[in-house]
Amino acid sequence: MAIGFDVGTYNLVSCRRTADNNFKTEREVNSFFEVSLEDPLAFNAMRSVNVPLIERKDLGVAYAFGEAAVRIAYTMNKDMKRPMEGGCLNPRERNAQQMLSYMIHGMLEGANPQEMVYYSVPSNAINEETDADYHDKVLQAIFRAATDENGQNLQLRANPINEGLALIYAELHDKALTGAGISFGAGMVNVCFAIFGVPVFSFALVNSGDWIDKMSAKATGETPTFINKEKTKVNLLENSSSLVHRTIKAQYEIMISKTINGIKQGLEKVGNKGRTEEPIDVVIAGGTASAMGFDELFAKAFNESKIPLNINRVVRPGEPLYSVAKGCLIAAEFACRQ
Amino acid sequence: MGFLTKPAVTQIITQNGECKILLSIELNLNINNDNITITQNTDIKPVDSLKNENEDVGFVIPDFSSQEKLKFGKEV
Repeated sequence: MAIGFDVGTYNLVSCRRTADNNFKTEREVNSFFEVSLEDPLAFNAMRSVNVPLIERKDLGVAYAFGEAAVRIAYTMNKDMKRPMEGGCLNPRERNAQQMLSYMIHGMLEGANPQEMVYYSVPSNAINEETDADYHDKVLQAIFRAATDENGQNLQLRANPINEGLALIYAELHDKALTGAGISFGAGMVNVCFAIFGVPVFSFALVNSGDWIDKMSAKATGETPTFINKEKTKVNLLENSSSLVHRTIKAQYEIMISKTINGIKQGLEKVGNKGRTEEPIDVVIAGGTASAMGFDELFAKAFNESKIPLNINRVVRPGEPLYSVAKGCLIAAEFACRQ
Repeated sequence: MGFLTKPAVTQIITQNGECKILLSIELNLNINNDNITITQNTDIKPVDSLKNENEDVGFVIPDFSSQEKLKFGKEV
């Protein structure tokens, strides 16, 4: 048995097999907020509607987690806190690691002792200083500390896999695991180019969904939360009359341009190692890639860029939010084979 | 006549790419004699070279074992 786990800036997604060999996927929002225990009304109200809660009487607070907590925080005008930012642990959130640990352990319920787990990790960014190695070490420690219902350590065999590579495992099995995987998450764009499942190069950019929200908000005078909602309505192939939609489209174009430039630089660095005889497929996934018209916009920019790579097609998975977790599971299953 | 009253102590300290050598020699000089002769104890202490503290920075990873359990995750 095996588990795949996508540890994303906005979403946590786990993936396992059912008895009839289908995928069973679970998802939650990677977010929490703090409630003072001096306000028993709020705490008890949340408990009565099954909001995921951890009570810390020693600190006089309780923590509410996930999507239900996001909805309640919005109505109570509370700030949601995020353990991750820009694809890695949030250094400004002092409780980040412990909160992330609670959520990941909660989603590992039912895991078997010594089960193989592959979890997604980003590459280091090329446009900002990130510490992907430290992020990986913390995640590994979190997974290896998971316990069963009796408090016994599960001794999970936890291993990292690059997020872009996970996409290749998920969607390019029929292409000999050769091609490019690009995950457009909330915090980061993660890119991996692999041949026969072996990474040739990989990199990340800290210019993705959250960045689009922030820059569009700045340009239009709206809030990032408003922009985040508008992104679900914009069609990236249309020239909208709405200033907000036009601004969002412009930021998407900048993000795609930076990604393609990064791929160009990566290919130049690896030289002949990146050469393939056959045209390759490029998988694009992640919440930020869910915008209407994204794959056409990306394919157009890619073809116009004169990258020294022949593209067969741009592939968008049927469920772009869950593809990384699925790829992590497939990698874990490969690792289990003798 | 001068006598080295203590063996010479030499310390070599290497830090931040620089090398600092501290040499301490104690002599006993007889200034009543026109011919000043300096002698030295043949027992020379070995050089102490101070090693830098290990500059490797290990990752500081907390302990994530916890009694609190969260029911979390919704099937999609």
